[in-house]
Amino acid sequence: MSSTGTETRRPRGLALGAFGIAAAYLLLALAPLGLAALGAPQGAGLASELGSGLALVGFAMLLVQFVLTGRFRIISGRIGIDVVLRLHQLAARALTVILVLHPFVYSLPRAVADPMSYAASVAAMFANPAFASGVVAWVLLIVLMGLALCRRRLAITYEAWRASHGLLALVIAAAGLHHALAVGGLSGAPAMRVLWFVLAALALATLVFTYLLRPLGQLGQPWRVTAVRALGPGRWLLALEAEAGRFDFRGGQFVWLKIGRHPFTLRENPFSIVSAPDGHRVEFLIREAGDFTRTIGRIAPGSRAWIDGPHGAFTLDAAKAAPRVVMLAGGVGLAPCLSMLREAAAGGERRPFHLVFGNRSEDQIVPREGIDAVARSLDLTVSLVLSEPPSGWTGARGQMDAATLAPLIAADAEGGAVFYLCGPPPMVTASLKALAALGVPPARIVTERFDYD
Amino acid sequence: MLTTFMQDRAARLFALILAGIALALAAFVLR
Repeated sequence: MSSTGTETRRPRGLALGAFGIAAAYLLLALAPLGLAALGAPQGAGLASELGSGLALVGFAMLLVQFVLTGRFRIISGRIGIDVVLRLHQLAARALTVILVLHPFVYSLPRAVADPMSYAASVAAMFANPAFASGVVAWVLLIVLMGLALCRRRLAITYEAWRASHGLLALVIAAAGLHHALAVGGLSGAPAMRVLWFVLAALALATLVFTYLLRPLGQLGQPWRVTAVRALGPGRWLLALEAEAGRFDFRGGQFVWLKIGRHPFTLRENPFSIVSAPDGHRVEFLIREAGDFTRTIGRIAPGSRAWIDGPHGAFTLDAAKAAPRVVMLAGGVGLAPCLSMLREAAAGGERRPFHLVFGNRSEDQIVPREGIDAVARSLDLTVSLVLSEPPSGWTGARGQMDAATLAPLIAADAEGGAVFYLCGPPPMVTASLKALAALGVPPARIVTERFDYD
Repeated sequence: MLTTFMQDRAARLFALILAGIALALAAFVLR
């Protein structure tokens, strides 16, 4: 997807809100079940109906999973793409449970009355050659889910995982489709076959868009790395400049970044922009963490880069009516907060802002000069928190939890502030608890996190 | 824990979706 000015305006009419997303999701995920409900019950009992119902819902959810990964702005525009991707992860758990369990449900009443006969009927189902494609999909789904949940503990690179994830998902969808069409008792009707093909086509179209059409579009807007600078231990500043066209974004948004000669690569990582919008340049604050970020220091200035974005609803739009704004940032979670503060300073904001910035050690407080500069042009209070402060440290001490945060932000909480949270998951979770304890309603909290599993 | 979970926008959205699916499944089975 190119990122020209015309495409980066904030989505309005076309973007769906949370209820729109829920409604659209349910429409797609429940369509096969709805179509099946139009037909008569098969008369095989409640358990059998439940087994079929679970299969119909579970497989439709599996096909919708593809669509959720497409980074379509109509889906992510208003609620934020991190929410959409989290939805993908949560739905994955639910549909895996549904699909893995469904073969055991059909003859469940027999399990109590005659466990041996129940076990034999399940075993016969798994051994039945007519169900082979379903069994293949069933096994591979468990493998895919295991890989997704244990990715960090396994010694595989992000690209290898991403390739295997996509490939496994494709095979599972194809085998599942065959299973639904071949043996699904309710899937035999022509209308149902058409519906399955439509859902499968949506899934396939998402893959084609993600791996072919979007990179093709990116070819028209190459970027160049202009600077790679070490800011502190494991902290880097990466600066890019657009070689063609404008790039408009809102402070707090992020992009998917690829570095290399061409954009047809699986090596793609999301990074929040730390700079203020200026039309041609973007800067990122990057922490060495994964297999890509550990190589940041080796990127040569002048290298080609490709950007998909901007994405995200973590912007000051969520605090338009707030009398004051508080940002709770942990580590490089500072990036979107600093970008918003810089945008606010450039726009001549008069509201009071409060930045609470948590780190482990003092040398992780970067970019210090960036924070100082924005504090000079905004009504900004900066509270620095360290969990391992040096001797003589005069700032706050501790984790970003209720004990540390309460004295710093109690007045803001009472003053109707909107709170922005960005940082590592444990920090976000601890800070959310602190805000809940202070009685801040969810409507006044905006969070962004990517590292869920 | 539930409070934190429900402050996660995706979790709230997913809870809504899951409730819709559970209702639809119940209606399907009992039709």
